[in-house]
Amino acid sequence: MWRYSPRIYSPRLYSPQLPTPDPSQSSDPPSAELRGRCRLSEPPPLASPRGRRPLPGPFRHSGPAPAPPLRLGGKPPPPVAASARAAAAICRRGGSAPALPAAMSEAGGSGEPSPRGSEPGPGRPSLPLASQNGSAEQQRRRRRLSSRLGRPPAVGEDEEEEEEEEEEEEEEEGGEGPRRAEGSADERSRRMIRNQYRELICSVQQNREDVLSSKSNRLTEALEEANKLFSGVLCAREAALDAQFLVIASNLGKEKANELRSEMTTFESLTFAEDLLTFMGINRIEVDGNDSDTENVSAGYLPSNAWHKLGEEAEKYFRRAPSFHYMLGSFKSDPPVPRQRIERQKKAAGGQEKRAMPAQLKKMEESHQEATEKEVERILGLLQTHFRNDPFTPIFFFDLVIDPNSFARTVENIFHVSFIIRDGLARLKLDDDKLPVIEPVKNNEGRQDDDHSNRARNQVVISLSHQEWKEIIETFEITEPMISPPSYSNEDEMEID
Amino acid sequence: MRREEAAPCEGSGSREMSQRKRSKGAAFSQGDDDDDDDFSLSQTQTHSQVQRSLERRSRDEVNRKVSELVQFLLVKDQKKIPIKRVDILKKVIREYKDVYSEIVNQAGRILQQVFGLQLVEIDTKHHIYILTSNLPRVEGENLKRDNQTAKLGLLTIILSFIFMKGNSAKDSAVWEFLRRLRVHPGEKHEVFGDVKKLVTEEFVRQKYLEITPIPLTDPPEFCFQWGPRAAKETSKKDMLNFVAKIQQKEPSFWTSQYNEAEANP
Amino acid sequence: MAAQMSDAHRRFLQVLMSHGIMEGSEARKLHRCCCEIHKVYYAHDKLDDFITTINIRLQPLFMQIRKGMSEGDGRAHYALVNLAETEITKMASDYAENELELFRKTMDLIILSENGFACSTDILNLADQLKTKKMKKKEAEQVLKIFVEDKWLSERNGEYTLHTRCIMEMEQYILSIYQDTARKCNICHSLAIQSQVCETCGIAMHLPCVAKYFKAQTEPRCPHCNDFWPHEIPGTKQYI
Repeated sequence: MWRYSPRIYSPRLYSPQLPTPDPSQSSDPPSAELRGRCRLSEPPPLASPRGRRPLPGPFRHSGPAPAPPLRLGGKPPPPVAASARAAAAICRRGGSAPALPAAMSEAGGSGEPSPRGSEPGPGRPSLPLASQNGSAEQQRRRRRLSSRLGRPPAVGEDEEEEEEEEEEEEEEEGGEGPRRAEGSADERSRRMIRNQYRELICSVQQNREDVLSSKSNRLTEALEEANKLFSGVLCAREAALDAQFLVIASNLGKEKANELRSEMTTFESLTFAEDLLTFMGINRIEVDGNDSDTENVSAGYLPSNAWHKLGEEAEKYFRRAPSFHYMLGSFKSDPPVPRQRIERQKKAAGGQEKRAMPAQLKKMEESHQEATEKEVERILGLLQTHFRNDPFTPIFFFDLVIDPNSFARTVENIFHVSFIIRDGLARLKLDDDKLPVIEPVKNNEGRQDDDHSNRARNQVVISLSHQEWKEIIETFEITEPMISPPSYSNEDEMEID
Repeated sequence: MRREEAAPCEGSGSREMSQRKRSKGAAFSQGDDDDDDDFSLSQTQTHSQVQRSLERRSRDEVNRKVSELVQFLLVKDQKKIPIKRVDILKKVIREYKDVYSEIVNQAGRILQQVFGLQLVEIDTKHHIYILTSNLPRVEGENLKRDNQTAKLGLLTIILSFIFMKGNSAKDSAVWEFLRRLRVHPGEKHEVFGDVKKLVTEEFVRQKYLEITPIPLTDPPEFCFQWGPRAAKETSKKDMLNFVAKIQQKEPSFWTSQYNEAEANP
Repeated sequence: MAAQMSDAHRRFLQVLMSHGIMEGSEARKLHRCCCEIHKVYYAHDKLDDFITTINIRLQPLFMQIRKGMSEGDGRAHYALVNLAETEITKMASDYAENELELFRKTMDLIILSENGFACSTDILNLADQLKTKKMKKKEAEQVLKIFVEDKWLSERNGEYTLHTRCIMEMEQYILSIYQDTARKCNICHSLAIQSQVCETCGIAMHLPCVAKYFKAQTEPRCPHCNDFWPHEIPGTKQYI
């Protein structure tokens, strides 16, 4: 949110004074360890190339001692020095950048920043490296401000006032000399600079991982390149791009700092992952010729209770409240159910014992069972013939089971085929179009599973309405049943529909 | 609101109605009892004010509200979504706002004395509460082992990873790490289902994790940090101990993390 | 005399809360474990007193630890149950509205059935008739699985019945809602879902109660009408 703070916008960046930094941004000192780190890796101060001017505003006064400007670092360490603090300060500045051109045009021609070198003005902001006490910093600013204006610092002096001063000054300066970008040649070079900036930003963004690598100097190189570009910057629009680049660079610097920090403390996430897998009871698979598998994910599979096992261990490190679950009271109670048990009286309960069955009925049931078995075997034979002829083409499930002449036959076919699947004699799966197909199971894979009772039992509920049956026939243009009606089938079983 | 009150739970109907009338009478001096939509509580509910209001309310009624609040807190904790004070006021306290602080205190005491649970405010600005346990878990008590347990395992890995990486980690780093553990954000996991949703939505809503976008990244990248619930239910020290146990090392092996964990345990 | 609650009681309650229901032997082990951790007086035969101490404090919250018997094997169980239906208890977030509707319809099927079981096909056929929001069969299957995991239902060969946890919590509710159809066991006088029913007078008995009652009898007769008891007597033989 702060990034889009409308209060900060461009002209001030290029005027001698900057507005009071947002106290929420500037008053929190960096954490102790960051400070320590900064000192550790403080880059050597570098001579500023080509008449770099001192820095305006909060950046100039950021440290107790003149802080070595990070941007100018020529050697690898600097990125590390981009502390979180610095990132925040820059982000704040950079975030406003997109608003810049508009602001400039509003300000009209008179607001064009002065050329470099003619005044103490915009320069490369040095990043605040060490602790920065907001209030002390403000005091210094005020002292400076008041001494320039020849009056004592007023308590409660607010930003608007400062803003006025700035504008005044800008105008004053505006009178000092020629400042406008002149001619189209200038315009062309500006466009070029902008293009170069964009390329630079793009390349850094697209190669984040490379930039972040501890072995890489890319961030420094990019910063140096930006420095070069910046020496040609005259106008706010280009400066805005520079700011944008800086935000990205400092974010990367922050990440790099973080990573370095963890590297120093030897937290190896790779070994942690391996140890976690071990703890979870991974079944490792021996991989030949690859003894040093530290780089690769080690092969193997986790047992099904792996995560529960880990969770049980995790529980000990938490003070998580167990939660209370109930069923009663989670819904509004129904009115009493008056219905009597439908087939209540005198019928056997317990479901266990077989009730005496009329002999005839028994016979029928048996013969029905036999019929089912026969039919399953017949379809299996059909399937096997097909697979023998064409072992690599799975059969489209609907082609197999749909009987375009009879819905009832279709349902029966599905029923019978399900036994073949259950017994592992064929396999049902979805093809690339997510349509069900049946394919043969090789003798050695399907049957051997039968020894293990632990084979996962899969149940699938298929619902098929009469309407859907018709639609399938239409869509897949099924004209003939693949499974011919069994021989005993009578005419009355056929449907006329 | 009113409609709900018109159908109160068994047996308490008439009592609630008369109570309502009474509190309306008092509203002339208080001026806020009628304001059903405004559940803002004045911060300056002083002890003596509460005492005075308590005298106005019968002991049974306050106790009933306390029991209701305990029930409410337990129910709301089922999914581990933090509880907002606004909801407590709206769903439980209602016209008992004048004794709000007393009701909450007593409910907190019951949770502690009966269940060994603690009512903790994790956001003092928006007044958001969670429940934690006062009893450290021990070996052999055998809590239920279900999918919530498994999810806690995943969460612990993420939290410890963040801590070991310097209290924040980029989303890509977290996912890369999880991939090594056979957890893939784009695939349905056999235990966790939609893992991405679990991590970036459920854990975040429960306030175990905070995920913030990293400014000016394209495609957008995110930064994982501990959420306030994590800080209350576990600690840096605990997470370091977890890592140490898994890696079979002493916690002090990781010097900087060790120092940090010791400094704010 | 109401003993004070100690951390041992609180831990016992927390663990029971996480499980919902525990078998008697597990509960006894937990009792011992909690007392040892917190160095509190322990006597192996004092579990019920220990629980009473907790129940006194749970009463105002409409909660209770109950002891009950599994209809399947007759073993004792302890469950933490909710006793009341209030505006607050309806805020439970464990199940969606249509999932609860499916549960209630399943309960109807089970209680109105002959033997205390409803087969999965019948339950799945309810899915697209739900008033609150229809469900696909596949979703309904998933929901049933969750009800089994959460111990509200138990499943055996595609047949579902009420889990002991559910019976312990919902007994009074079921007896009042299904007053015409729900049966009580003639031996232990509590709700009987899975039972054997006398074909003459219609009284019901839990299977474990049947086993106990007829243990010493050579010719089993109905305890109510003295007619011949026509069912297989569960005993040493597996009856489930």
